[in-house]
Amino acid sequence: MSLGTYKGDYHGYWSGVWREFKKDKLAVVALCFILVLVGVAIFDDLLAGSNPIVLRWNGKIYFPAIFEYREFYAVDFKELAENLKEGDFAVFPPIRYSPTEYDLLSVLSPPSREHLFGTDDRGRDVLSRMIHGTKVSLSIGFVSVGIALLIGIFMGGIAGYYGGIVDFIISRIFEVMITFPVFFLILTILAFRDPSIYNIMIVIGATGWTGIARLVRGEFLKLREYSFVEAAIALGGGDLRVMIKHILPNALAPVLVAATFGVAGAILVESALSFLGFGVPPPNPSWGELLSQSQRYVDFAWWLVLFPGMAIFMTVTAFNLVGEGFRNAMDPKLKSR
Amino acid sequence: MSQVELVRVTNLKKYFPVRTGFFARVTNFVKAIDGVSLNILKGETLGLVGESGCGKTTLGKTIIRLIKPTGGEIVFDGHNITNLNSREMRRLRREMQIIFQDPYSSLNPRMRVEDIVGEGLVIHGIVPKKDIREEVKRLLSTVGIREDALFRYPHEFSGGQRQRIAIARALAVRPRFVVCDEPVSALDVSVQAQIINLLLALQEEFNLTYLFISHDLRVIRHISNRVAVMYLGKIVELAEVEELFKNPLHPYTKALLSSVPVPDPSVRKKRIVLPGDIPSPVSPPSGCRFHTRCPIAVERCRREEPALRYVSSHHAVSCHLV
Repeated sequence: MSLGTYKGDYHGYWSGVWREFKKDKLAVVALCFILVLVGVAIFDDLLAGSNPIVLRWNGKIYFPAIFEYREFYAVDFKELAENLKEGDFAVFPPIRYSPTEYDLLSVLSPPSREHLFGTDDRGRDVLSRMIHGTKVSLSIGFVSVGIALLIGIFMGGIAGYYGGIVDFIISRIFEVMITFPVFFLILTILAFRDPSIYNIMIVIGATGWTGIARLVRGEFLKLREYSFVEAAIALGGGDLRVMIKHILPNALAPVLVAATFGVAGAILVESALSFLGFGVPPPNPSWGELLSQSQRYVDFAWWLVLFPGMAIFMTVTAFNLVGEGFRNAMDPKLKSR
Repeated sequence: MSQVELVRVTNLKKYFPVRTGFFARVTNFVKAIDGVSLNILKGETLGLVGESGCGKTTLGKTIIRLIKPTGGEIVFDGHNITNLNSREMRRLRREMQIIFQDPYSSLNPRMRVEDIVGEGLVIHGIVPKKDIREEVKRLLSTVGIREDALFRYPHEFSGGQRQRIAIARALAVRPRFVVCDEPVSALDVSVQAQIINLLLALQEEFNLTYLFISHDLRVIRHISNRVAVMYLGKIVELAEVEELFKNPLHPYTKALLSSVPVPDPSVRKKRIVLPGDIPSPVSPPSGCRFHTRCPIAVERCRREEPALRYVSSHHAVSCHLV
């Protein structure tokens, strides 16, 4: 009866969860932090880059940070901006360095007014690389968990719904997969495939579905016995309808909590891979890749440890706090605290 | 009431495997229904009574093929539906519906009332898409729910209201046969009467046939035309309702009826108290299943299983001593 007993307001389940979630201030702060990160990841080109956001040139308006223009092919916008005509203007992003822009004259320079977070071993601006690295880290986190969710819900769902021999086979598959040391499996696979961002997403996703599948299987197994599922079958609903309309929406809450933790895990795995040199290929920026440089220069390049390290730490912590917050908000047994 | 059969069940069996040990081997079976034969006439209410765990619910769900039978035969309206595959069965589902015991778990908490009641209409295309809302409103008013319930979720309703919504959902597909699986046991006594009267009114209006499962003898007496008494997976007695209540023949039925409280303190009744518990359906007793608790059992009961036989035209019993 646990499913039917929540006392919510008029708008159903999720608004009740949200109301509980809001009571956990730390989780709310963490959620805000994640939203800011998502904003940074989406608008990375407007926050850091060498192309102006808005440019008026020869009386026409351009947005070189967003679109590519043939007339600006291989143009250095810094030079261009210094020689603008009367009435023309250029608005640059707050960080005026692109993440791949070399400056061999200021290699490994500490934080300064010019480079707020310092530069790396090729003279690239660390802050700019971190801003663009946010996009890499978050998209790897979300996409790989998305892949894991698709596989996990599918496998766990049919195992839990059909039971019997189907369940037996699928359960053995994910029990075997759980015993693999996943990180070394990923390293091995990436040693044979080229480590593009997409391959990393696929590999992390394809190895991370077992936990979700186990959760979904348990939920399906439990919900299949509920009368409302039997009622749907009695009405003549097909397997697909029963699974998608009746079981899945009721099984989703714990899965989404697991997915939030999964994003944190995926970001951590990506950072570790990049740190070991198996991650996103250069010159793509990534937090782990910045951190790996610090290995070599740690005695004096402290900014290469501190800033990317903090970014990874805070992001992973934030996702874990949000997951924790949602788990507590959804668990009716903990509600009375 | 006609004498035409709508449902005929012959020697129906349902064994649930008990899995234990390594590789979950099947080591035993729970014999939930073990050779049940009965018929249900068009337009009648067949009451099914028995203590909990005797297989009433399993029998109800097996008759409408929510549970796959292990053996025997189910004939619905002249068609043998025992071995229909799930696709053939889906088309037949609109003819037979079920109302569940617990109205708190029988409605999907994530669906609005409109979608819950309208689902059968969508699945079977009973009314055109644009008319679904009107039809749902009509169904809700039939069961006595205000139409502003349309956009609400189940948790906003009381148990009785939820049961009405569940009844509307079952009626939506315009069934001929409805299994009522203890539809009032989870409700307050005052609400029980409302729901039972609703079920009776709907039966008259839509010419429904009910299999009414309950352990409450007063409810059974009020609603049924005929009553089947079940004990440990078998029917022990089957008779017209007044005949059964006035002249119970099986010792189990007698004991069951003696447990009904009489609202008159001056009446002194002899209560028959059965010794022991209902035996495990994994290994039912040999011979007559009731002999372990039967006050009049003889040696023969231990060895020989009695068949359900008619002692008069409307009264069948399975006991050697009747």
